[in-house]
Amino acid sequence: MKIHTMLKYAVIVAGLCVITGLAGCKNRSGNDKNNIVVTSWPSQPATLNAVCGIPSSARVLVFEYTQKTLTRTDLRTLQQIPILVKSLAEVSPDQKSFTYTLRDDVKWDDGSPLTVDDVIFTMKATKCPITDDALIRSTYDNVKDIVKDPSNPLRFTMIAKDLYFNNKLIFNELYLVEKKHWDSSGVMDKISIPDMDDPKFDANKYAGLADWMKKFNDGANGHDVKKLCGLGAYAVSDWAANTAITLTRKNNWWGENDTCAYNKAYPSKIIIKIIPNDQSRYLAVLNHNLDAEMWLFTDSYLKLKENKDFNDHYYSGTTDQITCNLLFINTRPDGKTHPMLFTDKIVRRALAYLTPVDDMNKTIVKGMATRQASFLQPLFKKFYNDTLKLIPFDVDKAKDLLAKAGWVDSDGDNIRDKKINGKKVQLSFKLTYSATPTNKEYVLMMKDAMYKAGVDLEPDPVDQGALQTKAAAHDFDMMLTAISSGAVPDDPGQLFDTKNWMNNGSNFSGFGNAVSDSLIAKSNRETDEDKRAVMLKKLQAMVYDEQPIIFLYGIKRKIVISKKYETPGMYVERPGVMLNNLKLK
Amino acid sequence: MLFIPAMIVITLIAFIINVEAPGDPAERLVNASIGNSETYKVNRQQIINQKRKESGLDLPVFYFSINTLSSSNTESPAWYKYVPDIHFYGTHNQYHRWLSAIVLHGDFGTSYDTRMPVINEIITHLPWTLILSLLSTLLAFGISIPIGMYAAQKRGKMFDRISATGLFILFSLPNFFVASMLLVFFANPRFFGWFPESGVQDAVLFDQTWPFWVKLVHWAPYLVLPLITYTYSSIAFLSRQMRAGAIEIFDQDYITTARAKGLGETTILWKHVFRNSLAPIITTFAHVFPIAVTGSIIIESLFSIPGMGREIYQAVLNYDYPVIVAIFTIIGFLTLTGYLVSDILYAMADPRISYSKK
Repeated sequence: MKIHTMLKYAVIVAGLCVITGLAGCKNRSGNDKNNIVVTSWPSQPATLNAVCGIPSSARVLVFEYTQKTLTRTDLRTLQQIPILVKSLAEVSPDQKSFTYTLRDDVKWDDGSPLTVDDVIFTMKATKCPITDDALIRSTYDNVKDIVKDPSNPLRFTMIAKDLYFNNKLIFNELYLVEKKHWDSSGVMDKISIPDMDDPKFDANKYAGLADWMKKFNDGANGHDVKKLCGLGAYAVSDWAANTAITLTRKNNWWGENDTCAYNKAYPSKIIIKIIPNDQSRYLAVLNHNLDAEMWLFTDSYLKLKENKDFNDHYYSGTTDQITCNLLFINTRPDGKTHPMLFTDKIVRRALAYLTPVDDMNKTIVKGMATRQASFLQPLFKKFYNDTLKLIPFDVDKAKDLLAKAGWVDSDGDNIRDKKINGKKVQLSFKLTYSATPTNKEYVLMMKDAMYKAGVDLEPDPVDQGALQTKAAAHDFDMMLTAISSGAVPDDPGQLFDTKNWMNNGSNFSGFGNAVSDSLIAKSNRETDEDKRAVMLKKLQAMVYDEQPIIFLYGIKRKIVISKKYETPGMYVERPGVMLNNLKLK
Repeated sequence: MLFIPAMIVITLIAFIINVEAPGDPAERLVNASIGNSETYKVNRQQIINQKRKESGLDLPVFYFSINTLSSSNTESPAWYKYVPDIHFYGTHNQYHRWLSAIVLHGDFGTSYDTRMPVINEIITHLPWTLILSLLSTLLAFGISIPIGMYAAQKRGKMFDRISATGLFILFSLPNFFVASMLLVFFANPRFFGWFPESGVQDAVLFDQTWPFWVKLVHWAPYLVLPLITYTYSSIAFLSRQMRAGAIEIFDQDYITTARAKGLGETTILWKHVFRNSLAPIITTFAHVFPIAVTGSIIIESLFSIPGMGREIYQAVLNYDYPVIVAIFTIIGFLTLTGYLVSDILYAMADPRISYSKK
């Protein structure tokens, strides 16, 4: 065979490949006849087990449609509403007992009714020390017991150990699992909820528990679609690893005639495609291959908004998110690996003046972010301390403050310095951040801004895992990261209690003293929202004054939804859209 | 001959990584059980020990340990620290247990992230990487060999010069750039929206019950752009390798002799030149095996391909050491296999090469 003949064949083969490809393309078509909603998520969940494994936002998204909780936060109002119970809890005068009555129409997939035993079993499985659910178990530490009402099989009381603002919300994220399905032999019946709290809990004392738990913890329970059962309107019908998760509407589901928005199930299927990069998400929207999208980057979103076809076919909008980008400052450095640069709050305030937050907002996120002066978002109107003023970018003010704190450029190298313990130290520090292109932009803008006042910022990009390790070990000068919370302000102790600095918890900056700790403890025990709000505002003022953290802003969520649906709602709380409520026009 | 010793060295390195990885595996698994809950801190160590026993982490690390006498006697004379103290543990050790599990059961442990057996994770993600890598290899060899041979035959002529320029340009383009450009132009309705922008199948239409050929036609468009990205730089590299090898052979005296004997150009090319210029190509073939399993993090991420590249990336991000170590071991094994296959192919391509003792 001659060479040019071979070349011809090579071209023909390549051409055939392309033709086959194009022929296959014809498979692609819309899904307008059946209401199949296609959305995307950047990563798949590590598990879809309702109790065990590592929780993630992807898991929450799937559970939104496949699982149910007794109560939940209404995305529209951010208020708690009953779901599987007839009404919200009847609270005892001492605020430690919460009584609920289950709805009598709730059925598991096998037709069995939801019982109080299921609630107790779920709580036991969650609280058991050998259940593989560490990241959520501590949420239920304050549950002392759940007691059945002897006179009403659907009624029970949750008894809390201590007063805690979160007690009434305790069932908002507890996805119920069926006792009959998981523990038909009654292994868990031998153990009470208080037993689970015994600090000397020994699984071997309870016959069969260790073996049963080994099976319960098995990873397959979170991956095998046949084992992923729940009370939601949808069941996971297919999980193609790192490709897509398909949720199919159940037939004869118990809640199909319910009028509650969370029990509507208009789409016959909800498909969650796993698309890790923004460019593909952007193209998928352009190609009309996604019906709802909540993860677009700002640039892609703005580019889409300029496209007529997009505007003809999609609703689009932004909502605030309960997240905040921020800079943790190490206020208690060890003085060896990290010099004592930021122990003085005047210096920390100067750094705040040197952080060009508005410019960052304008340049990097195109103004699609909401600034905040404290650890709570302004959308928490009742709790946010709006007397705290946003700190502007002001180089002169920063220079004055630094000079006042003793930091001057004594050697003319444009970097301020100061003698600490007899040794000259330059005002030069590392800003540690997770190495993403956007974060790099933040850091470079800050570096330029800081240099104007004689502060040397050295970028320190690391991967996300290393960032967490460094944060917990207090191995940083300043750290760029983000926090998020739920619809009710979280326990501020996580970020500000000194205990959580000493035990390498998430008080990364080292803020706090006896007064702030006491205020946090009081606010956590306060069940009256108005009184708690006063305390939280006071704490916000203390944090503002000490400046252990420079709060940047919360980036808005960008949402696009196909116009083939009736006008949808867009919400602050994740996932931002109620996919089950998307009804074809 | 060196295959088995090299493989043992690889398993030892993998095992050392496993043992020396930051954090105690038992503690990490128990953290998943106890977390930061205040209640259980009292019996935390007990649970860790139990987990350590279950996982065999309480056993000696290796078949033997070498220490000094002073390490076991706190109040020993100074000279004890110069006397070696060797202990043998037989097969009751972590390495033996780890290796036996791999060899006998293919058990690489459990993923910290998904809690699934590591081997399942690999089996789940391997097919797409394997398909893309093998198709890409076939295409790359299928296209680059004729180009290289033709360029060698037409050395210095128009085709040679144009193909050289074109191939050098292709070779110099980074794959993330090419992938992005392909997406922008060929998966974008504003230009040529011919191909899907992500994934390997249409989640709405795809049906597991379809016959294989229907599935294949469905998958084809999803594979075109990733395949081009996988392949273009290999074509550039391989065809230049092929050209260089062929030119060297064209200059040999026996080719002149063959021509003098009146053999046709086609016979000379394929019977004498092609076979003898395969050595550099066979060398590169050795690398196909590990690449076929590891895939490409960048390409798989950009095209949302659920393959090993993304799996490795996720494992690294999540510090999922059992997965990392398993992949390291498999890559080592396949690299050695690649070299073994190359050696066999060398002997097949060139009868002068022989591995037997003379």
